Amino acid sequence: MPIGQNRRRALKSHDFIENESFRRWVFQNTPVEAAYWPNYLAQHPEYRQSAELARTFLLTAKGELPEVTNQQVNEAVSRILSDAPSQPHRQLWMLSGWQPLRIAASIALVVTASWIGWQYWTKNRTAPALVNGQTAFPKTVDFQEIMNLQRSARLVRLPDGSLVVLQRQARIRFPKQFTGPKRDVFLTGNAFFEVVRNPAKPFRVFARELTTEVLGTSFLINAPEAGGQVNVVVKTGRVAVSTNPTFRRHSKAKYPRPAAVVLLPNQQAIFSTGDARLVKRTVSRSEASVLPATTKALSFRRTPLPQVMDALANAYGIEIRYNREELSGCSLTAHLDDPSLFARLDIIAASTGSTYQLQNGQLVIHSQGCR
Amino acid sequence: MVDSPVDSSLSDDALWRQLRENDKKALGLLAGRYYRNLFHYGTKLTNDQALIEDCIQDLFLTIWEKRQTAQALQSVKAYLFVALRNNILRQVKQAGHWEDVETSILTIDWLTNPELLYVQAEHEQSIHSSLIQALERLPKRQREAIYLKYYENLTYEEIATAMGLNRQVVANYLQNALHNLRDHWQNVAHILFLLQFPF
Repeated sequence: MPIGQNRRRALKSHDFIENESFRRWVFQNTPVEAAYWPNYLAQHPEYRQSAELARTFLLTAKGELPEVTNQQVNEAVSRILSDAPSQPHRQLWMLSGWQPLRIAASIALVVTASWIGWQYWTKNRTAPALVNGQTAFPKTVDFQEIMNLQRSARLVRLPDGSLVVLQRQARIRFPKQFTGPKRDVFLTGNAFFEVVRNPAKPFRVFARELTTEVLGTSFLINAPEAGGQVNVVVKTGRVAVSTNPTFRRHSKAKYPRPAAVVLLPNQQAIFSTGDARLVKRTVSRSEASVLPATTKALSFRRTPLPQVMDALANAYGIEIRYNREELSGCSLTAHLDDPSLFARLDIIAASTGSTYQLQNGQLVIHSQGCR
Repeated sequence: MVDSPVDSSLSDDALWRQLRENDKKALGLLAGRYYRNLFHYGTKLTNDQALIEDCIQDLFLTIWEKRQTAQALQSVKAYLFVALRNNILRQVKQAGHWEDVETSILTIDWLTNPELLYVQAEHEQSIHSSLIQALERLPKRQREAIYLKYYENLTYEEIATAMGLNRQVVANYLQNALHNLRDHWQNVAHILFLLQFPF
């Protein structure tokens, strides 16, 4: 067991350190070791110093480790198991069937990325960065700014088809075309985003001290013009939020410390100006009510269209304008499980022969009538 | 497919084999077995605990996704450590604030100078605290190597793989750390010697 008795020289600290049983005693205090070592050291007082020093060495090497409870482990494991798809046959088919497609997609991605990179480089553009609240954006890019001065929420459709639900007083600035390698927009105030998925062109929102980056998800950002904190709440998908270390509200404010978190649904990132720190938290039940109920599956069975529109308006916390007379003859039977508003509207439009458009940020539905 | 019962006393290798044969329970057992170790190791690489959680989750999901093409491994544990380290560093780098740990300099001048230490180490307690200080002043990567060697019982080869280093570099790191210890030990001996002959 522990330390060999047939030795020529006196034991030194590193002999204890290299001894696995001694380490188990220091780190885990396992029963066998707990019975052996105190006894051994009592019999060999001459090694007490070396053993103590070895102990200090090992504990320092271990450093401070946060407690991870069994419950935390179990929860993490069940999350992993529930996220791991368990259909091996389909997986096999996917792997073999999609391999060429995947390769093609990878090549396409590389080609696109290089082309974009080349374009980017030759035009000698600088990456958009916020410096003291100012945008250092290439002058060639034509920007549009929309502010919601109405009382109700205002819808904005971005050039890539993504949806922004701007709350009162919120404003968003975005290029007329997303020409750069990323889809960059700038927000002040409170807004809900439903981003069209495009892995080749990540979508970025700059809002005060925070930068939020996604490929295609929905989330809410609250970045009031003034006020103690900025937060990002995730509805669906994965969102990366990082501080923008170059941003400072006014000369006396602190620059935010560099930090980044990855958020999953029902998680939020909060940046508080006071201590310039970014923290990640689970969304509490009361906080969750600020999120629109977009993921709630909407199922309709011969439902009159006005009722469908009301359900939709309700889910997104928006107003939808329509002529009740015009629509009342139409009904819808559909299961709308894609949480994207525009995707849902497309289905409704196609199946009822109606059309929709945005007029000054208000969703307006027209129909020829279904009688 | 027949669900083969998975015994939690199975070796890592056995679990890995079952996992490759589509046994999801083996994935769960492996994750349960190493979650705490991986999480703790993660805290040596970043302070962002949420990021560590996500990276561990990603790690096991990726293993599951690629189980059909996965190879047999020399050491499952070492593989998990390597993969987690890569995941975390990639994330941290992407976020663009990876502090370069290589730039921290080892400052042991006052340690290697026995006279200085003698003045400082008037009693045993301060020898311990100066050893702690010396270890804490080691560059981050050296501390990481020591952690993996002594706390996680990884071999030189496994540490070298996990940290993307040459085996010799790992050996040097650990030698350096132990060297500090020897210096301290000599001073303890020295003081003990003095204590035996009070003036």
